[in-house]
Amino acid sequence: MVRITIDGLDFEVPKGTTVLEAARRNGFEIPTLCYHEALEPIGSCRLCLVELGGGEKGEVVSSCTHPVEKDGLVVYTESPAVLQARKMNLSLLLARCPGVKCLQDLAYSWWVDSTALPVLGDYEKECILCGRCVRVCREAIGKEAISFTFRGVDRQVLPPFKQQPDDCIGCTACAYVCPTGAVKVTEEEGRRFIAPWKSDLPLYFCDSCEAPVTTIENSASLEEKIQETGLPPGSMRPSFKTGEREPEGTGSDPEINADEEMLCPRCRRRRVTESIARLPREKQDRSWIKARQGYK
Amino acid sequence: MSRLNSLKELEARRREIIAADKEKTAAVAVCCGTGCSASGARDVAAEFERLITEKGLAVRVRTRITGCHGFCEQGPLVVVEEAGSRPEHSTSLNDSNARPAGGESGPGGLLYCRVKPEDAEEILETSVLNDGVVEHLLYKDPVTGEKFRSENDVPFYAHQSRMLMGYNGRIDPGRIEDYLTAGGYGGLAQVLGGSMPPEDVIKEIEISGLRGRGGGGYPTGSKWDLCRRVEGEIRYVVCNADEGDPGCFQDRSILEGNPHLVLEGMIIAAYAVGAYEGYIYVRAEYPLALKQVATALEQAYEWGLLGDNILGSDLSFRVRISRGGGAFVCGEETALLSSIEGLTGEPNPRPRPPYPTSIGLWGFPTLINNVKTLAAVPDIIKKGGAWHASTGTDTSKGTMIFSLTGRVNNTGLVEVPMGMSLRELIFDVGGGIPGGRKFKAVQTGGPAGGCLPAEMLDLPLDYERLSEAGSIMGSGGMIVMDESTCMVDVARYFLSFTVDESCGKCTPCREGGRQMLALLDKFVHGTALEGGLNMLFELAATMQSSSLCALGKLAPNPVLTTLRYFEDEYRSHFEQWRCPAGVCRPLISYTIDAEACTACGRCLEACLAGALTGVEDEVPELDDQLCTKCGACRDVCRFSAILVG
Repeated sequence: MVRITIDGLDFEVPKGTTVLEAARRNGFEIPTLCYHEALEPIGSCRLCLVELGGGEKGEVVSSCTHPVEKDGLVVYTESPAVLQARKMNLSLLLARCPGVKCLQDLAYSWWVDSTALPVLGDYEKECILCGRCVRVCREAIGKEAISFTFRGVDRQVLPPFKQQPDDCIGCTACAYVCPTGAVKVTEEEGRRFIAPWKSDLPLYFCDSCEAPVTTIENSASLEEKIQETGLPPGSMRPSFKTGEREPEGTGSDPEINADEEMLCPRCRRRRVTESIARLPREKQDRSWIKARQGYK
Repeated sequence: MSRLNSLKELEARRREIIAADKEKTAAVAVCCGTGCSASGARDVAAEFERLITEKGLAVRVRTRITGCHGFCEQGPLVVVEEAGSRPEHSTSLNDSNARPAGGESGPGGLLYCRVKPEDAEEILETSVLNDGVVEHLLYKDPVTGEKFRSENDVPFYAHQSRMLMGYNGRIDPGRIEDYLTAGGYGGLAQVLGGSMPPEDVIKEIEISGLRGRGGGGYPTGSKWDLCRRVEGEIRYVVCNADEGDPGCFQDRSILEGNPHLVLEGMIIAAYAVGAYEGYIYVRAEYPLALKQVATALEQAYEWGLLGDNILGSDLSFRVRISRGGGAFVCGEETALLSSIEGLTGEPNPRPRPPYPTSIGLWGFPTLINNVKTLAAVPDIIKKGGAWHASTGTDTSKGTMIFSLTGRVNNTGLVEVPMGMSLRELIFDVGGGIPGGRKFKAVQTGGPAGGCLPAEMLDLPLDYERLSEAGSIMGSGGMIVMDESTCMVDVARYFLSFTVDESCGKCTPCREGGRQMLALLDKFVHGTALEGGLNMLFELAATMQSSSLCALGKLAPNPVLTTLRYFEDEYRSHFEQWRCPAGVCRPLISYTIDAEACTACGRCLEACLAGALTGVEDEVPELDDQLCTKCGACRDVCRFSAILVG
C-alpha cells in the first residue's frame, strides 16, 4: 500500500493503482470518456486530467494513465489549471460532436458552455475517437477487426480498407462499450449489421423459441475460447443435447447427450432446470444451490 | 576488402589507403548533396569524370562526389583541392591531434559556385592542370561585389566553426576509405584500445557538456549513464533521423554526406551503454540518405567495424535501418519506438519516468539519440570532452547546425558555436536580408518554435535563453522573415503544419489545433472579434497543459510568440481591417500610382484575372471586383507603381 493525498485528504491505495482508480474508489468525481475498467487506458480524451504536486509548477497529467508508484503523491482533481483544460477539452469535443448525449450531460454537470466554440464539420458526427471499440475488439475479444485510420482531424475508426472486416465476428462488444452510441447495430431478416464497419453476418435461431440468438461466428469464437481454457467442448455453446441422462449427471454434461439442438440461453436454462427437476431429488446436483447460499 | 581483425590491421589499412592516394596531386570535389543535385551537380560530376578519363588524368586527378557543403544557395559547388592545400593525413590512430581534413578550419581549396557541365573543361584546364583561377565562377558577395578565392575566405564559411559539417566536403560518402583517411574510426579505435572502459567514455561525454541535438537538450552523458545503469542483458541504441521540420535538412546532410560519422558515434554509444543491437530510423522521404546509410552499413560489416567481435574486441554490435512512414510525430521518442516495433506511430501516454532509457524498444532499455548528437561523439572521444566544452556557453556546449532559410542572402546549412547571437548568425553568416529590406522576425526551432522579433536579435543561441524567449532550439530550423511578412499569416502557416501532422490521438491537439486554425483564418479574413484573442490564449493554454506529447504541447508556440511580440498586428487585422504587411488578401487592395507609372504595359500582360485594362501609353485601370490580389502585377512592375493598402 502506498499513501496518496487527493485534494488535501490522505488515502492508502494498493501500489500500481492509477490515480483515477484511487480517486474514484475514494469518492472523487473525475469525468472520463476513453477510460473503461476492462481496457488498457490510452489517455486520449484528456478529461480525467489532474494536477500533480500542485502549486505553480504543477504538472497536468491524465489520471487514467498515471500509476501511484511511490508514497507521497499529491493530486489535485479540481485545480484551476485542471478545470480550465478539462472544460476546454469538453468544449472541443462538443464542437466536434454537438449532438452526443453523454457530452451534453457532461457539459451540463461541469458548467461548460456548449456553444463556446463553433462546430467544425459534421453536425451528425457521433464518434469522439475515444478508441474503446478498437481496444475492446483487440484486448477483450482477441480480434482486430477495426483500427484507427488516417491522422489528425481526419482520424477515423475503420475496418481495413473500409471493407467488411474478415475478423469481425459480430459480437457487438464495440457497440456495448461505445460511450456515444456511434456504433449502430441492427438485425434484419436473419442477419446482423454493424453499420460503421459494414459488417453483415448471419444469425442463428433458437430451435425452441425461434428467437435470433447471435452470429454463428460469435458462437464459434466463444467455443474456441472455451477450448483454450481447457473446459470440455460444448460448455459455452448455446446448444443443448436432449436424451437420457446418467443418474450422476450434472444436467449440463454434453458427453451423455445424443441429439444436438441449438438453443438460446433462456431456452437452454429452462431445459436444464426441467431435466434436473425430472430426476429424483437425491440424484440432483444441488451443489450450485449450496454455493449460492454460501455466497449470500 | 577483407575483414579487419584488430586495431593494428585498421591502422595498416589506413596507411595503405593514404599511400595509394599519394599519387594523386589534385582532387575535384563536386557537391552532390540533395540541394546541389537538384541544381544539376550530378551532370557536372559526370562531365568531370568523362574529361578526366578522356585526357588520361585519372592517375593524378580524382573526382570526388561529396555530400552537402551547406552553401546550397550557390550550388552546384565545386572545390578544387591542390596537393599543397590538403591538410596532412593523420598518421597515427592514437594521435589526439589527428584532425579530419577540412574539419574546424574549413576547406581550403578553390571554391567555384553555380558550376554548369560546360564549365568543367575550363576548370580542369585552368585550375587543376595550371595554377589559374576561373574568375567568373568565384563567389561574389551580393552586397559588396567582392570576389573570394577559397572557401575559407567566403564570409558564409568564415564565421562558422564546422565541427561536424567540415567533414562533408572532403569525403565521398560512398567510400569508407575516404572516412578512414580523414581520421575516421579513430574514436572507436581509441575506445577499443583498452584504455577506455565504458564508464570513462560516459564520463568524457559528460565532461564535453554535449546535449541532445534533437531539440530536447537533455545532457547526453547522463542519458547514456541512465541507460547503462538499468539491469538486464538486452539494450538498444536508436539513432533518430526522422527529421520532419519544414526547411530543416541538417540530419539529412550529415547522413548523406558522412554516414560513417554517425555510425561510429553509434558504435561508441553501444560500447558505452552495453548494447548489441541498434536501429537507424530514417525518413522514407530521404532516399539518398537511406542509400548512403545502407552502403555505409554494408561496408562497415564487410570491414568488421560492425557485427560480431568488432576489430577483434569483445564488442559486438549490429545496426539495422528502419524506414519511417512519413509522419512528423514519429520524431517523438515513444512514437518512434512504436513505429520501429511495427505499430502505428503514435505517442504513448505512459507517464515518464520511466523514460525509454529504462523501458523502451520492446520493453528493453533503449538509448535514443539524434543524428547530430551521435555525430559529435567520435571527435569528443578523439580530442577529449574538454575540447568540446571549450566552445559554446555555460549551459550549451559545442556547435549547433542551423538551416538558415527564408528572406536571407545566404541560405543553407550553417554550423556555429552555441551562444552566437541571432544578429551574427543572420547578418554575418547569412549575409543579411536581400533587396535592402528590413528584418522583421525569425522563427527558430521549426514549426513548433517561436517567432522572435528584431528586439531579440542580440539573444544568444542556447537552449535556456531561447526557451525564456518563448521559443525552442528544436532541431535547428531558422526561418528569417522581412517586413513583407504578415505575422498572423506566418503563425497560421506553422500551425497548419502541426495540425496536419497531428496524429489525432488526443483531444486538445486534434480538436484544439483545428479550432485555433479556424480562428486564425478569421483574423486573416478580417472577421475576427475582440474575444478571438482571448480564445486563442485559452486554446493555447489547453493545448500546452493537456496534450499527450510534445507535438501538441509545442504547437501553439508560433501563435503565442507572435501574439506576445506582434499583438498590434493581430489587432489591426480586426480593428482596422487591414493587414500591415499587405499579405492577407481579403484585407488588401491594389492601387496604381499614376505618378510613378510609365504605362509600359508589363502589368497588363501579367494580370491573369483580366482586372487591369488600358491602352498603350496610358496608366492602366484596375477593376477591384475582378482583382484576385495575386500580386503578379506588382512583381513585374519595375517602377514600384503598384501600391498595396
